[in-house]
Amino acid sequence: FEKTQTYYHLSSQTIEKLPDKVLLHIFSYLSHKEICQIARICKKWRMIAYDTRLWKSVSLRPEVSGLHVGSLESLLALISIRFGPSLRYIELPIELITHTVLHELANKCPNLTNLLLDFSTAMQLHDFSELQAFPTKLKYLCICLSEVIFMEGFMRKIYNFINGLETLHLIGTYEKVEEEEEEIYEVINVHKLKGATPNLRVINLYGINFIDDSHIDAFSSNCIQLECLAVNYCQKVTGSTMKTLFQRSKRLTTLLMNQTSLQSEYLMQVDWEKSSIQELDITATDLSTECLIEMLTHIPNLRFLSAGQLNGFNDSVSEFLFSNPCFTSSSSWRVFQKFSNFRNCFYPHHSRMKL
Amino acid sequence: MPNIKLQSSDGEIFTVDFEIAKSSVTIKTMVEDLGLEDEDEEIVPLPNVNSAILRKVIQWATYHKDDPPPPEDDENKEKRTDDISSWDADFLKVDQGTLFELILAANYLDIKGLLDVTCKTVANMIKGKSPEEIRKTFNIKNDFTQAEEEQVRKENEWCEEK
Repeated sequence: FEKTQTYYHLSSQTIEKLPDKVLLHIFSYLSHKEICQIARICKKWRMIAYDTRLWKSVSLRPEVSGLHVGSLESLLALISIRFGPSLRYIELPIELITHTVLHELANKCPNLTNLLLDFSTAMQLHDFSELQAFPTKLKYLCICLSEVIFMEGFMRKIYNFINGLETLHLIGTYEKVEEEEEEIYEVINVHKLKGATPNLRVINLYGINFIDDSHIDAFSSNCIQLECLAVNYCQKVTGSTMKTLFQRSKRLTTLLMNQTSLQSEYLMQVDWEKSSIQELDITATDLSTECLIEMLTHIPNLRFLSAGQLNGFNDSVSEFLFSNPCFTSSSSWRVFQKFSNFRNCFYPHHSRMKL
Repeated sequence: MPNIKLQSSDGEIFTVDFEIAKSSVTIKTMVEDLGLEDEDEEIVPLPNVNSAILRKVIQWATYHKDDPPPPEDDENKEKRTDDISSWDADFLKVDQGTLFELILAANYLDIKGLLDVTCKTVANMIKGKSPEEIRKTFNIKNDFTQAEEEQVRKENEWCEEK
């Protein structure tokens, strides 16, 4: 006890004596906004605040999360000075998606693997006719679509650069639509896109009003590695190409179809017994009791089921399920029937999505 | 080898369960490299840690001896600072000098869990403060000239949340 007493009088350690490596560790717990603030403290802190290791993952969508970059010049300077080779992940809003920015990212950030492009607020697409380069190491691409902007002028320029993609998110405008819209535009050409992305393992098509069964068919025809497919809130999806999907995609373990227009007859054609499905979301669909029993009693490895707001899921389905020893014996098997979230049950933090 | 003897910079000797001492990668490596596993009388000197701090470090490591190994840092995940357990928060209710000594010890001894939680605690002391308040909190001298201060302000003016 005495020692502790004397000790306190002797301790004169200050934050200035911490090694740079430790300060870097402390700063890694701060947001980018806070890091910009602390650059103003003193010379040493400024130097560490600008360390590219603190700028590996950057969001520039102030409406969603992250920082507001006011001008293209600022962004171009940041890419070469502050982000550089450390940058792994960046989110860009429509006003910052230009060919010069993409060229700079391609040239200065060789380790960029994850990219999010948010076109959702676009009224008009920039001119990409001069786009010559694009990050080539992308594994993950997320495109937030606008309702009215046709993406092909941009997409046709990047097809050659994205065949390493493993994860693709296309985010529709489901959440933005307030009334029934008059016209639906097919703003991105899935049939061309799938040809450029043969290595996809995770495909998330979220709330896109034009996506239908033919698009699922298109992806499944070219992406044999497919492990996770999500079409939540794509209301044109009926399941008519599910049978083929399962015949082609033997590795499919996760299938999320929340709030789609699934038809029982199509799903009953699937050979569920041979599927590798482990995680299934059929929340807010109109599947019949008969179909549910057929599906759920034949999937051999189901671990996760979300089946809320599903009238067909009545007591006889539960009885069937829980009388089946392979379900009741499995402790990891969870049913989210009554409590499942109405919105975003899996999006965007679902584990499989992060592959 | 159930126990190990650790000697602090001021000469005090601590006898510690080796399983607990192993949470320090530095000690673990030292013991393995020197082939001390079978020795009982060998003393491991820790010239960078004084007895008061070493006592606290051992207290922390003893409480956390059954923790699962800390997960690898996920770069794409925003790091949280609001997940400090109440035991750790109580344990770290110490003056700044002690907190920094604990950080230096955790860094030297290579104890990731302790380094993480102490660095989080300092990050929380920085969060939500203006540059002037931060300087005051940690007694840091502003070594920028007026011109430099203006320059660094400019460098970061883009960095504002809407």
